[in-house]
Amino acid sequence: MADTIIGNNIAIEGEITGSDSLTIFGVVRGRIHVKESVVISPSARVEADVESASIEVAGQVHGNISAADKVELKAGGKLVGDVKAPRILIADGASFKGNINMQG
Amino acid sequence: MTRTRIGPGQVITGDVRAGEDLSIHGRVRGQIEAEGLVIIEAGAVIEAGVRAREVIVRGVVVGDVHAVDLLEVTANGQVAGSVQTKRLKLHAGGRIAGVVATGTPVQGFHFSHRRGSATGSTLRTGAMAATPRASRPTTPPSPRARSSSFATAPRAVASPLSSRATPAPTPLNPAADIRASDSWTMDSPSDERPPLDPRRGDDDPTILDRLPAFPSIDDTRTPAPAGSDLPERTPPVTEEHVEVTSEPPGEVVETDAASEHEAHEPS
Repeated sequence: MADTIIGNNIAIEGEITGSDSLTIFGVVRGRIHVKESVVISPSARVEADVESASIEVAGQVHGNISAADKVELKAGGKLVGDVKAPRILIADGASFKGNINMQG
Repeated sequence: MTRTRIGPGQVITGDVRAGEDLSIHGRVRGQIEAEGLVIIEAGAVIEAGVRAREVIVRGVVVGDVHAVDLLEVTANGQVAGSVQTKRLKLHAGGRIAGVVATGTPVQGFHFSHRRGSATGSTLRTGAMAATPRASRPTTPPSPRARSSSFATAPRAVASPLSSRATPAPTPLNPAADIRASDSWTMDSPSDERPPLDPRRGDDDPTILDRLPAFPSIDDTRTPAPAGSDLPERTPPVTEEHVEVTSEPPGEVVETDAASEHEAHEPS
């Protein structure tokens, strides 16, 4: 497992950049720029712009999301911000407020 | 329970606050504060101050380290910065470049917004609110800025120094803090040292237990007591140090006797 896990009782304020995949259970404020994938789990709270290849949102996100491949907004997930990705999935029960850009 | 881990390919520029244990393989620039254990793994580079209950350094830390309970620097660990800790375990090969103060009470960190009780308003700690997100610097904060964020944290550790003649450490100036505690450690005789922890056992390998009063010139002229307490002068137990202490004490006494001759011959 060569990925990064931000646990429940962690708060990061600042910028997370890198190549690994990132799983967030805690709080992140600032900016996230990760090459591989970002998973925002139900307990997570993210106030940041998120940029990655694949982004999965099951928690709360306040910020713009940009994915090279795919954005998946899961049931229970809450997203306020713009989404830019070639493929976008929004599950039943998800909450979303913002613009969608699928032009690439 | 997930364990927080910063992967080797990850860079965090900013502050990390943790109410749980943390292991870092990547890079962090900013400030790390944790209630529990922080492990800086081999290959990790931390350009940040670290404050935690327990810190294990296997990689590189450039910044001050404050450990409430224990700081362990392993054989390949490096710390470039001041160190303040109750107990220090430095393995042979580990490096510390900076002022070291052991046995001092260190203010801990309290993680104030646990999940479950967190709402939008309680997410901000004092330090976070003081630094708006838009103006977050991408460079590490200055020592002054870091110390001011410490000042807003609750003081969880009661200072046994406060009842003594030496002034209690002021939270606003970490450098002065270390100097003050350093002076009583060095200057006061060993029997006047304040009690560190009543729960601590005799087998506890802390530096202060093994650190005798600094030898004066008279000590070299009285070989018998010097020889008897020589094994206690060795630093905390590591594999290499065990070898040193296993040398026959007779040799050491001989060198003491030789030095005694040297001292007497000119007169």
